Amino acid sequence: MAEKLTFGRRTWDREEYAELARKRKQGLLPTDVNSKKLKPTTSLDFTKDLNKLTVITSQVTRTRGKAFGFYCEVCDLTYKDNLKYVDHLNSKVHFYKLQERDGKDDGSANKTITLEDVKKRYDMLCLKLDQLQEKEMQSSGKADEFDVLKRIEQKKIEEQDKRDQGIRRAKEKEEKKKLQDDSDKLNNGLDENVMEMMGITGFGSTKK
Amino acid sequence: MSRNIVFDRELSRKTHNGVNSMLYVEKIVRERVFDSIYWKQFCFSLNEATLLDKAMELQIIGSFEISGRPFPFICLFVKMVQLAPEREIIEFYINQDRFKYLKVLGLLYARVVYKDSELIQEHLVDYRKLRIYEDGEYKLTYVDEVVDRLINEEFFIGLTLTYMAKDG
Repeated sequence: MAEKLTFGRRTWDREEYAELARKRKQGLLPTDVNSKKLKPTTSLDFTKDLNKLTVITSQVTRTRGKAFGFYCEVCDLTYKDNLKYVDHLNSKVHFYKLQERDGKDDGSANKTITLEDVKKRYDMLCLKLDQLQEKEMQSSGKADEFDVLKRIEQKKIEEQDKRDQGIRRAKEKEEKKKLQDDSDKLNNGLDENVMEMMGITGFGSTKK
Repeated sequence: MSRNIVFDRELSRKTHNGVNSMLYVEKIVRERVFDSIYWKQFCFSLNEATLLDKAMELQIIGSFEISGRPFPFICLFVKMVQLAPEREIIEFYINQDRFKYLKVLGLLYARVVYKDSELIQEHLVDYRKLRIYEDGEYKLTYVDEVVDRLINEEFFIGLTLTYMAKDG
């Protein structure tokens, strides 16, 4: 085979080529390199290129017909990258083909948009958004959690309950205190009576 | 596909005060936006009404990421400039309350194209929160802050704001 040196002329292994020429003369080698015998046809195997990376020359951006990549049904083209594909979808050619397929343009694209149209669209979007949110809430079971009015009601009831409880407790405390006071008074009264009986009044030790 | 737009370099056929509306956006911004996938995918066939669909999906104010990829916000702004809607439509955008990012879009448009400080000033009382991407980071801001910046500053998210007469 040809040996490539880093510099100077190339040299050839003459004997190897002589051998090849001899074989070709005897008909042992196929003369046409591109002949079909060299490339046996195999049945299509779609998985054979799986996970394999192939470099595509950058100039080939589209191919006619359906192939791997992004396929445009209207124009029967396949694009290798999405930016080119989107470019195509926005192109005049595609636009006119689309019109041809779908019938005549109804002129809606050229209509001037008025404030009324914008308002209509706005209302429609608001409605759609509301419905979407409602559905989401219902599906997540958090409808009560986000309903402000309901929550205010609930909070009011809770606070009322708390207040009532507080009042009840305060009342109970007062009653208890009253009872205690009464019994204290009774006790004190007794003591005073006894002390008076014993002849001791006013200050002094209460020790007996 | 609207006939109001020249196909090739997507200049608008409409003018404001004799200036082609597209020239209100700097060339570098225009080119970057036109080359972006968001523009090609969503903005190409929008009109004043269907613009709302995209504007309601906005999550953030911003012009370009560090990589140069434009945010949807700037794409929609360029689209608005290209469409050059009637003034009443812009006022509707600004005065609606449901979509705050649409409101900011309208305010920015009013600042850049109309240079009408009175129209913008009315919205200094809106205190809703907004997300903004600026100088390579995400920040929190409010509608009134944005309005204040639109009135007083010369730059906003990398866009140059030309001179506007201020009253008072």
